[in-house]
Amino acid sequence: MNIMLDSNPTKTDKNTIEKIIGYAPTPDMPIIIERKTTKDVTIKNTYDITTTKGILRIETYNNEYYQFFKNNIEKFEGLNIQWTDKNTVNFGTFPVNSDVTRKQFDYESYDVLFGLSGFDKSQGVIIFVKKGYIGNNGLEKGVFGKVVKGKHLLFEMESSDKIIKIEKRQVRSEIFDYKIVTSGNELVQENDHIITKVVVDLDENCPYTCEHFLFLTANGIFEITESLNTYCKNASLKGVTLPNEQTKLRSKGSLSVRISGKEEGCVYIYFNDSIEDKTHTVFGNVIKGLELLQQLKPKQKTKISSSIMRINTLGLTQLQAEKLVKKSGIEHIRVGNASDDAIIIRQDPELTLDAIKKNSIATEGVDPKNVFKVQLYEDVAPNTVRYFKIITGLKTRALGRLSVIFAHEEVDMILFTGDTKLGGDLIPENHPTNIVKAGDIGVTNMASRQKGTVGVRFNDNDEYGPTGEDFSHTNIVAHIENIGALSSIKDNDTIYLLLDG
Amino acid sequence: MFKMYVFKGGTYRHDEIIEKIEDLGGIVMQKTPMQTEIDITFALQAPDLDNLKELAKKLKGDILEIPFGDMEIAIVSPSLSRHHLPHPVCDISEFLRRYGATTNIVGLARGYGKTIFQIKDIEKKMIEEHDAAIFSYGLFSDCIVLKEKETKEISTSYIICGGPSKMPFDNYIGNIGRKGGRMRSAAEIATLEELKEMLLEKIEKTRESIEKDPPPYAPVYIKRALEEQLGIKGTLGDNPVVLHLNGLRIKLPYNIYYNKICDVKIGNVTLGDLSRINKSYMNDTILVRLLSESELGGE
Repeated sequence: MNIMLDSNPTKTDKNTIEKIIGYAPTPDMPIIIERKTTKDVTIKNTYDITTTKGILRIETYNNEYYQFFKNNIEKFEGLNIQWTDKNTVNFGTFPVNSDVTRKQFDYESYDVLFGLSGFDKSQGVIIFVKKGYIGNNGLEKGVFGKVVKGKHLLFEMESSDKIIKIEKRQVRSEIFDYKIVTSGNELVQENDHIITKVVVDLDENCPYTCEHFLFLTANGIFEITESLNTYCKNASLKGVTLPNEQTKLRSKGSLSVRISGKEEGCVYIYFNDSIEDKTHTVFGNVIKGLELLQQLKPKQKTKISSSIMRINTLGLTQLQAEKLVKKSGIEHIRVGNASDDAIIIRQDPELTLDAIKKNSIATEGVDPKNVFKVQLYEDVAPNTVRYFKIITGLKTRALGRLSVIFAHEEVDMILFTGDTKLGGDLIPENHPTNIVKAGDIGVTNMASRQKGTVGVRFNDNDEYGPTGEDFSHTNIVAHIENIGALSSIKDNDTIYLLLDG
Repeated sequence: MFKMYVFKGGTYRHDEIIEKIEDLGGIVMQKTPMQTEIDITFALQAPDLDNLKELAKKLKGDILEIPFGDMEIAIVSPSLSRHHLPHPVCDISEFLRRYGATTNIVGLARGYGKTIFQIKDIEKKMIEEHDAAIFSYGLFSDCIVLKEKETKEISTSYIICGGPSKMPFDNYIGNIGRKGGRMRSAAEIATLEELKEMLLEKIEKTRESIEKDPPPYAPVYIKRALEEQLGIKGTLGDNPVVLHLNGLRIKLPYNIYYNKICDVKIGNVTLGDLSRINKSYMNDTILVRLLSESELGGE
């Protein structure tokens, strides 16, 4: 049978989802089937009356006067303006088979009705009311419609104008049903459109924001944190600060990142046109699969991809970096320690889009013994781990770094730069009770003035924490195994961290 | 179409409301902090209002619709004498302001006696600059009938208020008329509510009509662009740009600011391309009337 698979026409002799797409969707990661039903949708008996001055669109009421209008449209095409006055524009003439009356009626602006010229039944006219008035038009109040578009044209009409054509507005509207599929057994029908993934296009004017998105979707998955009628959102990278690269209309399908406020760093995908805002950078748009996103609920995921592969070599060896960069087709230059097992601490350009534009990337390596593996205590100190990842850069990079502010051969600890402002949110958690172990990385919490400071000790201590504070003022966030290797560190040095595991 | 709302709640975590409004494509119009409480007036298109209301409830606040928040209403008094002003013109004005309206009291003062109420061309144009008009008359039915004939020519939606409980017009609210004091009793407040409901009904028709042939950019969006590009927010009192249903009033001198206003960038075009900009008949302010899609040559 003929079906569509992610917008590609496909012929298949298989009949279940699993057999067609090669895997079974799950409740966590569903797909959708789009089925078309086509209807002629008439929009409220609306007519476009083309005149020599432009198109008047009228909405009609369901009454006997409308029936007369509907059944005699060809008689009204070609009618000239008989007269205009301050309240009306009158097209005619044609015979009318109704009783004449001299009663007065109250007409509203933009009413459309039938009347008579000179109370003569052979001189029927179609009247467009410019301005509401009380008067008589020779017939009963024969209002059958209202002008909804082109009202300004009534004030421009002249005696030489006429009605050229009258057409009923009809829209052939494609209406779709969407079926969410959470298992592989679902049967597929002829002409079904199976949507399994989302494909996006990224804007090269937003290199920082695109890098943020590429990091978020490095594993090819987008998870929904919040889903509304206007947008869906992922909050995994909440807290990351980005520059404002582009303020633009958030049209349907737009990708944006919030760049200020509590929700900064969150990625949004819009389902409706929304006006631009300085708090959002628009950095791309969805080209396939928006309908799938609209059906997902919080905690559900979908496959997502773009034409750009992230080039991030931090934390890799020079050899691993060479293989990665080769896939993207751009030039690779080794600098610093160029040996195969040197760990990369810096790449130039830093951002993927800049590297693609330059068509080249230089990776600076260091001896692996200068890079330290850390184990983060995510379960027992989640808030402090979140802080630690932000200040080291591990939130968005595989390689983090800490700057030394104090190190002395006679002092048992090293202190690193923190962030006093972010440290204000560090509620006490996972503080030591009897002893602090050598290699435990601690952060001063909000109980102390030096909140946010990071430190580590070379030896166990049963009095003070890794930052020299009381145990109650210290949160233990991570552990470095080979602490002895830090003994030669001096003030203003930088140490590099890789996540263990 | 944008509608106007107000968040009333505490200052604690009110930034979450503001962020949500921005995320939903709304516009924060005004913030009024009062010690530990704050009122945030904003404009939003409907789809996720319920979600915003849930957040407000979580923060122990509330979101109310202010149906006249994007309108300027004229309250017309037949004269400046003590029997027409201040009551109940002030009560009507204050009541509508609670629902977001910007109100102007227009006191007519031509002639003498009953003929003091003369709506000539200039008074008509002044009243028609508003989105709606409330005519506040006195106690005598024959007087009200005379005055009603004069108002027939007004093209903007209007309501007539007077003392007699019934009059032979559709758009009439009785039991107001000449009053010696403020309208405080339950019955009087109920009358004002009735006035508000009638006005809402009339305005709804106008809104529907605009929605069928809207301007490409909503007045609230234009207001934001004007305030940012002309740098007038917070410098000329609370409300230098007043919203109308299909335009705005800018409280700046026409001769000095006309060109700057024409040049304000809106998308890829300027405000001058999207509107008719004229001098108001009121107080040397500037009227911007946004052109509809069909007036701009669109479908």
